[in-house]
Amino acid sequence: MSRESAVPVGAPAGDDGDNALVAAIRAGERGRFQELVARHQRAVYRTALAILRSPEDAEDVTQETFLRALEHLDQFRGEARFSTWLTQICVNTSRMALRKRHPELWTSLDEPVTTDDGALPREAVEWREDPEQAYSRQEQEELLLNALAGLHPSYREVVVLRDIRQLSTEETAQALGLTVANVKTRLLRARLQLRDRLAARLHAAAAARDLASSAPASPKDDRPC
Amino acid sequence: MLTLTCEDFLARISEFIDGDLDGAWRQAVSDHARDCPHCAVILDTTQRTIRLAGEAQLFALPPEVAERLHARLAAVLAPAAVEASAELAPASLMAPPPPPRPRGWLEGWNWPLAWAVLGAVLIIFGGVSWWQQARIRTLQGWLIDAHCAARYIAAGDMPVSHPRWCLLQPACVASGYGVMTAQGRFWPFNRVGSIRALLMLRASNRQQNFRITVRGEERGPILYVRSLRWAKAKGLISVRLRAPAPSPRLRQAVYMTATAP
Repeated sequence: MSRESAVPVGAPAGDDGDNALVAAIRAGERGRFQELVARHQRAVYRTALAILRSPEDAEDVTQETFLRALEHLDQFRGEARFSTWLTQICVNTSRMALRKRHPELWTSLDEPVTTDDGALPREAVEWREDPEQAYSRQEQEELLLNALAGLHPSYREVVVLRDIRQLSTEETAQALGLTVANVKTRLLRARLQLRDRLAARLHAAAAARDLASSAPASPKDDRPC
Repeated sequence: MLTLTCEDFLARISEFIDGDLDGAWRQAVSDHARDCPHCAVILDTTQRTIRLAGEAQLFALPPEVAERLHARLAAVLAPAAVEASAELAPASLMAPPPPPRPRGWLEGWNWPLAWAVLGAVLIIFGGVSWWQQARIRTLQGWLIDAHCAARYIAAGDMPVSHPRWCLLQPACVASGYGVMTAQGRFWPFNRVGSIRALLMLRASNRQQNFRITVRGEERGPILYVRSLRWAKAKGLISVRLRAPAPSPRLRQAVYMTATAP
């Protein structure tokens, strides 16, 4: 797996620029907050959309995140990277949006996640095609969002930060207030579940396409391990 | 050498993909993937899942969303910028301006000036009226025309017995009337006063001793008449010009008497 770096997508490589900008804004150049926003808007929107699935909610959360960041900018102490701090605000805001939309989900989210066995993949079928090649960008987004939506929010957050935002394990842990070990455990479950759901959807889509072209169903090549 | 079960393999697949496994475990996972086609598929598809998730083009920020975001922030930042630039400004600048109050009619007056003007007006008015009042005279004397008055003054006589017919002579009427006081001074009336005197004279049936009480304003030699009446007669006959109109009650009584059988 090629992972260029732990830099989040849409954020600048170095953090020095961020810290200098934050210092300038705190010193009174409040107009430069827009610069800071321009650096991180993509990453924040990406996070919010992946967690919330709805573009409208993601837009609201993105705006809310930056407004809160502006309001609490003097509480940023520079211990973490600015992008991590922003991610933390974004995740919290997304959680509040989710809580507002699906309050029933949150009673279960606060309980410890113990669904160990259920998290293991049940079937292993080779994908006939790479979704990146076979589907348009919009279809890929839809596939991924639908697969993510089936994940428990606590798993979803981890996989969104680690694999979609491509934060490091440590940054993910920092942003979510978890230990690194905890992130790794959740990440394993989350990735396998996501793979499962994606596989199911890809198969369903492939089967539908086969049916449409009246070709015989694809032979199953899964063998028990 | 480690030999893994499929479950062991799956438990470490995430760390394997992230490159977090050290030598022996890494080797063991690779070996298992090579020997177990099922796990090889899981490994492959999980990697592809992660690759798809990390696809940079996905979940791009639509330009219109970015625009709205910046517009909203600009709206929030705009008043804050004013606040920041006016740190030394009084607190009233920080607070939102109060809604404009409807302006009362008494507002915005220069009160000292207003009082001064009012005082001046009162003083002038009072002064003028006092001055006028000071020139108001009430005189008693005999009604006489200016033409004949000169004669009486020259003779040092009072026009007590000046006859009615002379007073109504055209030359006398044209010369205007006035009052001759006991002190021998003649006060000519203004034109309106003269006309009133003529009317009074005509309406009267006196023949002489036209004693009057006149109240008027002295302006130079002329007396501007304000009221003019016959003086209370002292022992002389004072005749009413007209009998008073009978009251309705009297009329009724007369009628009843007249129609009584």
